[in-house]
Amino acid sequence: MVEDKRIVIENLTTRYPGTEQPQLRQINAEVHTGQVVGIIGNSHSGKSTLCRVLAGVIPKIVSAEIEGDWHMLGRRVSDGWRAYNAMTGVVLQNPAGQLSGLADTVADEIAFDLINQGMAEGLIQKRVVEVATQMGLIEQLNLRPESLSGGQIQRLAIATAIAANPAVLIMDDPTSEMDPLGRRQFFQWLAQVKETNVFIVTSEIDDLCEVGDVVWVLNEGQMVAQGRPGEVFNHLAADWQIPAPTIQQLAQKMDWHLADGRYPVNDAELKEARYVHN
Amino acid sequence: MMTDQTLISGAPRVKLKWYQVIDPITKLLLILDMTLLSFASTNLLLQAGLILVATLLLLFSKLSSTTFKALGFSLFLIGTMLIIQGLFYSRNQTVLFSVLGVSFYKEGLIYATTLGCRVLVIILTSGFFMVTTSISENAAYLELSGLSYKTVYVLMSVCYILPEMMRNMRKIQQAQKVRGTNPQKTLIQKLKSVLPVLIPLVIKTLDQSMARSISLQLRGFDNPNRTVRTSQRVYRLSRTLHIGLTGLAILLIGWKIWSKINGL
Repeated sequence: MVEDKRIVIENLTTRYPGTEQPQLRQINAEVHTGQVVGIIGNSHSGKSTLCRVLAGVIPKIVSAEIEGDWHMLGRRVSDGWRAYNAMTGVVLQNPAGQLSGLADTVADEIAFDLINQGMAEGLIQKRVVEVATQMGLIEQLNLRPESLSGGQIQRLAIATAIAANPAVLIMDDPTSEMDPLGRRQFFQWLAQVKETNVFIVTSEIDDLCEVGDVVWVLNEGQMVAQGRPGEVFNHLAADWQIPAPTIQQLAQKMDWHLADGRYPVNDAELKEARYVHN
Repeated sequence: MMTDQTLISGAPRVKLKWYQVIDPITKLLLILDMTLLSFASTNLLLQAGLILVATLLLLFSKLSSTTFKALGFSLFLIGTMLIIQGLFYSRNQTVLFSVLGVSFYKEGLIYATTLGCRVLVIILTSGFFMVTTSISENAAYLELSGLSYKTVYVLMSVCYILPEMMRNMRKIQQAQKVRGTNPQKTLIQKLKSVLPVLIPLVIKTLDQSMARSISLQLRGFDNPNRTVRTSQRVYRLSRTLHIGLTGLAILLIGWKIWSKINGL
């Protein structure tokens, strides 16, 4: 049997109980292995709800009316929650709410997910150090989680999400409390992530253009655009109220465009545009 | 499989303090026994002895600002109780002393002192438990004792709600102070500032509990493969202390029932 390595969303409509308008309307998309998908849009556009659906929080934990279908790597929530959940790592919008509250140290907090999976002691120790190194938390391993700054708590939340090596990583605004350096380090780390499907809700358009393979634009619950960052940002509609990446704005002012007429949106494309221009 | 959290953290092994080798259940039984002993008699010497023991336990363990605050508040309440009972206790007969023509009665003062001593015993022993036992230590110990992690988590969450509400309250009050809407100079002002935020405070705390519950399910806390954490902590004389303290509690409850039946 051929393993399904896609993430497919078909005509997905979601509505929370007690609300008149659906939060997501007729969403269709398909993602392939290893892609980083950036989800952007203004407030109440449905970004967090989409993350909740992909993570299985809806309908497994939070109830909502759902029409349509979605499956990740050949699995649906209805096929078995445990297997579906083991496949995903989730970073919630509120990172402090993600902590177990039962860990004395940062190391214990990261180990929590691994203990839950029944991992052997030696492997837990090794993995905790690996993940803490990736998230720049190695010096904080013995500190109490509550003593960390907002940005460090976000990094800890990401560390807990990636500890068990999930095949799909879903992050809802994971850098909102990070300082510029922390944010840069995070996106540098994200650029190195391979063979993991990543869904990231972010307002960091410039960084997203550097690391994202695909961008989804949500507006009032509808997916109004999807495609490679260069394609999406060159065709932004004014009423979506989404700013263009800094590089694109600069290139427009300089009238530097690529061979196909698009304006560059990231470093690599900017270099290419400059070459074309000269 | 043993999971040595200290090894994970890479923390150096340090010499354990005396209160760290007493397990959480022993400490809880100690609170129970001290409280029962305090309620078993009205002898003020015994009450003083119990307060002394509880104070020594606290002094030789850790002192925290929270304990001092709780103690300060309790002493304020006890002071109020002494005044009210000294003046208005229904069995007041013997005048002990008078201040500005107002008479304080012996019976009321003794009654209030006994009650106050009992409150102090409970506050001091609970304080000892709280400053010497972390929530995670309790959770680990209860899970090791055979409780399911789900049950342990529910129990610990209950312990969490009050501190979480207090944290939220502090944040709200700080925000109010910054905006100049909450001067909090007098007790009345402090009380007034609490009332309007009570409902949002409860809702916010419940919302946080909900978020934590979602997160825990996502993090697989009810996974049947979960490894039971074997703490590296070595508790001493646990079994003996459990049996001894439980026996004492049964004796004290039995004594109380017997004395009630016989009208002692």
